[in-house]
Amino acid sequence: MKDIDDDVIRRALGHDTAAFEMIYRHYAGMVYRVAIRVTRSAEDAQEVTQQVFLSAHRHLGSFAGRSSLRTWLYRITMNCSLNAIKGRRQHEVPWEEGFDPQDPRHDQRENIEKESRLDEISRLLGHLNSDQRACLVLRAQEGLSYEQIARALNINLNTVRSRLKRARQTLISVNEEKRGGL
Amino acid sequence: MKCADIRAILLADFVDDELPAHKKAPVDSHLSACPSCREFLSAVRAVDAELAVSAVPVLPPPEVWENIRQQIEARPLSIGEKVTAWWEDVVWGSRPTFVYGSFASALIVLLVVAVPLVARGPQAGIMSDKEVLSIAYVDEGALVFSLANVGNGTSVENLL
Ligand SMILES: [Zn+2]
Repeated sequence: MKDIDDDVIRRALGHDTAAFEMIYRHYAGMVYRVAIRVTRSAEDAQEVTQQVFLSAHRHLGSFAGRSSLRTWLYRITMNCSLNAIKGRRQHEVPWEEGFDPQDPRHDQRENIEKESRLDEISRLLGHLNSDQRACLVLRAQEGLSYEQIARALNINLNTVRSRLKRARQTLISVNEEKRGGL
Repeated sequence: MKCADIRAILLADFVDDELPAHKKAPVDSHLSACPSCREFLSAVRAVDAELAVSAVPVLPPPEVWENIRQQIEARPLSIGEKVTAWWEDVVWGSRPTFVYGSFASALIVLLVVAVPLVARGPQAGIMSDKEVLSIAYVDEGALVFSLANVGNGTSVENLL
């Protein structure tokens, strides 16, 4: 995906709403689809998209060409998405605890899933913790390099590598179980 | 190398093209001799293929932009933004390219000079502490906006 013209950014800095709308049109799809995968909820992803662009609008001056606008937006998107998950964590059963059908919280989890109408990919991503999910979405869905992921999540390269390994290993096991269950 | 070592490489660097050529060659030769690692590699690729499907562009519903537009039009400009808008009009308005580096340094200088003078005015548009923290995490250029809050009770020494 091509970054938007510097000229548009410059006009948006001068408080030109039409220019900022061009930035929105250019990047909203990317922000939304990342947020939807990381939060696994369309409702949260809309809220995150709104936060990301309001924050970008307010702080566009601090961006000042230190990275590409796209990289900067990935970073804000990840920050907002991970915050959205933290904010609702008290209502959610963490997936990393493992799945126990006898657990009374099982019903609650099912309800949450029904409510947010999660599709198959979201369900698959639900087997990962949010940090692993963030790394894998940026890599497998968005095609970012390790360097870019490290910058978007403010972590080092070895952490990117180990989260990707654990994420993929988990999903391979999930796929194997699914096949075994057929 | 043992299969376990090969698989650790397959799970990340190999499928992500992050492996330098001299480290890739031994993995390739192991793969050509080991059907079970080849099978493992296709399982890794299958996982990524499932996720790549979702890269098809999806747009948020139109009301998301409507909300954003209303909020940015209703929000009064912060001092930093007023300086930026003024700077844009006066200095860069007619320039064909946007020189980020000099712009950023000039903005820092302007904020250091201008903010303590003007910041005692109306507080509208000045960020909350929570916002400053969240932006400091978001962008290494946070200094510029941390400085914008100097007039809001934070000292420059603390920030630097
Ligand atoms: Zn092998």
